Amino acid sequence: MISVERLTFTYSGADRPVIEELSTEIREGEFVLIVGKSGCGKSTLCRALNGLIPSFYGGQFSGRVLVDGRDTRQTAPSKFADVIGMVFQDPENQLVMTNVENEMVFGMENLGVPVREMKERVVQYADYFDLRRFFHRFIPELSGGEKQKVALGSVLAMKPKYIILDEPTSQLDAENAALFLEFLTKLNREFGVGIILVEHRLERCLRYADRVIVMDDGRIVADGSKDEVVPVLRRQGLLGDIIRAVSATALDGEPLLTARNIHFSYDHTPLLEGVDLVLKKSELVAITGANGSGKSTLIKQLNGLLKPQKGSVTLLGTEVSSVTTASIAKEIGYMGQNPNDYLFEETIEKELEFTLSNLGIDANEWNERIEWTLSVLDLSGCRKTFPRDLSCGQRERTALATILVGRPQILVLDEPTRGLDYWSKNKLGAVLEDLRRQGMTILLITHDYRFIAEHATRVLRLKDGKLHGTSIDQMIFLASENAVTGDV
Amino acid sequence: MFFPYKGTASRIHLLDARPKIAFVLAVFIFSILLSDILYLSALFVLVLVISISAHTLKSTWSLLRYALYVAIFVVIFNVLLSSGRHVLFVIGPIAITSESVLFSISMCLRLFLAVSAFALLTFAIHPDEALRTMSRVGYKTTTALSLSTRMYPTIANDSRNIMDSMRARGVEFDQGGFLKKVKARANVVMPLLFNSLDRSVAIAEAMETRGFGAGKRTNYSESRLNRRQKMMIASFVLSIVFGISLFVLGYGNADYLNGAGFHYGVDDFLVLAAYVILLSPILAGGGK
Repeated sequence: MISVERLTFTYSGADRPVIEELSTEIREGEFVLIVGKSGCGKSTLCRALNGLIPSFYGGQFSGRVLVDGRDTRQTAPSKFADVIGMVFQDPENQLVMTNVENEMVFGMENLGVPVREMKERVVQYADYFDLRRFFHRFIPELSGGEKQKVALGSVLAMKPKYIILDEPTSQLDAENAALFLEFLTKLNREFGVGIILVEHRLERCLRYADRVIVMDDGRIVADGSKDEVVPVLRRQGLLGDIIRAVSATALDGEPLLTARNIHFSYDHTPLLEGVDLVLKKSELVAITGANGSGKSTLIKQLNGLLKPQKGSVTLLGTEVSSVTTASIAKEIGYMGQNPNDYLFEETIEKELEFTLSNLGIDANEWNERIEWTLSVLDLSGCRKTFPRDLSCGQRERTALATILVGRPQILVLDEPTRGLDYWSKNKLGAVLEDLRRQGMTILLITHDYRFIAEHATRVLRLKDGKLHGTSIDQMIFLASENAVTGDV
Repeated sequence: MFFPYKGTASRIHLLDARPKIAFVLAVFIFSILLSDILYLSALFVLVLVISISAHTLKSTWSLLRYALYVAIFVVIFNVLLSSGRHVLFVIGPIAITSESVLFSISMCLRLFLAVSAFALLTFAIHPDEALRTMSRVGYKTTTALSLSTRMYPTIANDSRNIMDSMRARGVEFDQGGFLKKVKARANVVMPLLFNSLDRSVAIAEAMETRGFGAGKRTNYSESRLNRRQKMMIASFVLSIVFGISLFVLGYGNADYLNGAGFHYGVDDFLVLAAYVILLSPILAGGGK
């Protein structure tokens, strides 16, 4: 059993505790889901359960956490590895070795598991996780879903009693996420492994949990079965009905961007095989599709980050392949998956000035543009803040601000809702809707059916190298609350 | 892909890393030790034959191409600066002597030999396996090395993404003069550094939770060397001892700058044959 007794923790340098007087118990074999807004202390709690907090982070720690009777303050986190395993959000940052087989044994070697037993476990778990197919593959070549499975398999091979998972599906598409979560359930039922899962995407995971802990502002505000906590989740704004904010009627007018018959292959593997796409003013088009289907590759063709091997892209009458991305950045803005790639200056203001200066905008316009951008994105209070100190949702909006300040006519966003909690997602949705009403055209990639259902004017699915039209109604169905609570 | 290892199923690839490392070590030592053109050529040909057998000749050639640029410099410098008595021909104030030409050829062959052996190390030994072999010496250092191999594509990918995000913010990387390009690329450094710092904390956390440094570890691939592999290693180690002893006796050592030429006796060919015999067991390779 893991028992948390009156835990209070303040990160060093912070002025208030992130967790306050928190007590709970997690028993072996439970499937516990921990939910709450960004910054409510979920991840901190997870890290306190296996002693990463305080030993790894320092800070002020009071109360105690006992894992099977052992106090986390008196034992190094690595010594808990045989009892508590942990799977993190980004598979990229938790796989250490270069191939799958070596990755699977890394933890067991550290625990000193005898070689013969390691060999047995490798066979057992590789079969169970269906990892044999890519046993000797170089890890960076695996897809996100495969990597996350390797991470889970490698942790499980250490035979922990509990596994803590901190947003493990945030980078997976719906299908892979469902497979991953079903797999967790199976582990829980068949091996009796305790699962402690932190997730923002309630629609994905609520149905699997035996017990849901709802946190707010460093405390537990509800703890019970799925049915017991749903009203609290609704009150907290973590769960709600789908409210469609836009009408999906076709818009008239000249096309701003036209892509015709785009073909693109990586290493002779065709990814795009004749994609056609037309974007008009004031549209919010969502592109969905499985991990690895080529969505990111497709949107990079639109502003010339990648050149189509066949076909053409025309932006406002200009052939995109004949110009540089930077030269059309004023017309078409692009935000990649990782907002951190956009943040390196000392203040948000300087970040925006960096873009304005590169785009050659007259310095007299800077202040007005910065004020407008920050107010649209609700960041006015953070103008002088160091961007890397911001929360996940704020970072996402700051990255967006660095693009938006150029006032492009088209905004292209690669998975802007990734890792955002429900509240931040709503906020982003409202911003995009506002920009669309002001005449901006937005194209975004997302796995989030709910976001599409609420905000998109049109939805396309990339499959087998081509774009296929899909109805908003289907998205609404997929995202509907029936699907959320698993009552379908 | 940035990962140079070629995962083919050749005999050489199937061989355990340890005999391969011993072989490469021997050849490296010879490339430093030997200076005689005949000896160096024979060993170079042997290594090329092994590359063919490992299906890595093409990749080896791509490395040798770079070595060729260095070789051109070596030749130019030596031919221009070395002295000698046997003048082959004269270009203006510069006299080209046979001493300097032979010395240059010898130097280039040493370089090619070292590079081709290095290519074998790079292309025919899986980095994990190489690291595991070394891990017997220092586990933590080895893990750090493995991590850098593992993270290299990730960081390269990161820098590509950052460049893309910069392009979307109006930074031109490919236009303008040299200084402008350098300045544009300098913008990538800070975000890359920040991202890498974030990553290193995350990885350290992940490693901690997987018991890294928790206590005495075991080694999964504690594969025992079979007789054939042991004999190979013995043969390569013997070749090093043999090479050093014979070098002391003057075999394979040609001082071209002081007028050494191509004067070989039967004993030279016997020594050379011994070298080849001691090194060629690697061609037997591994596998079932």
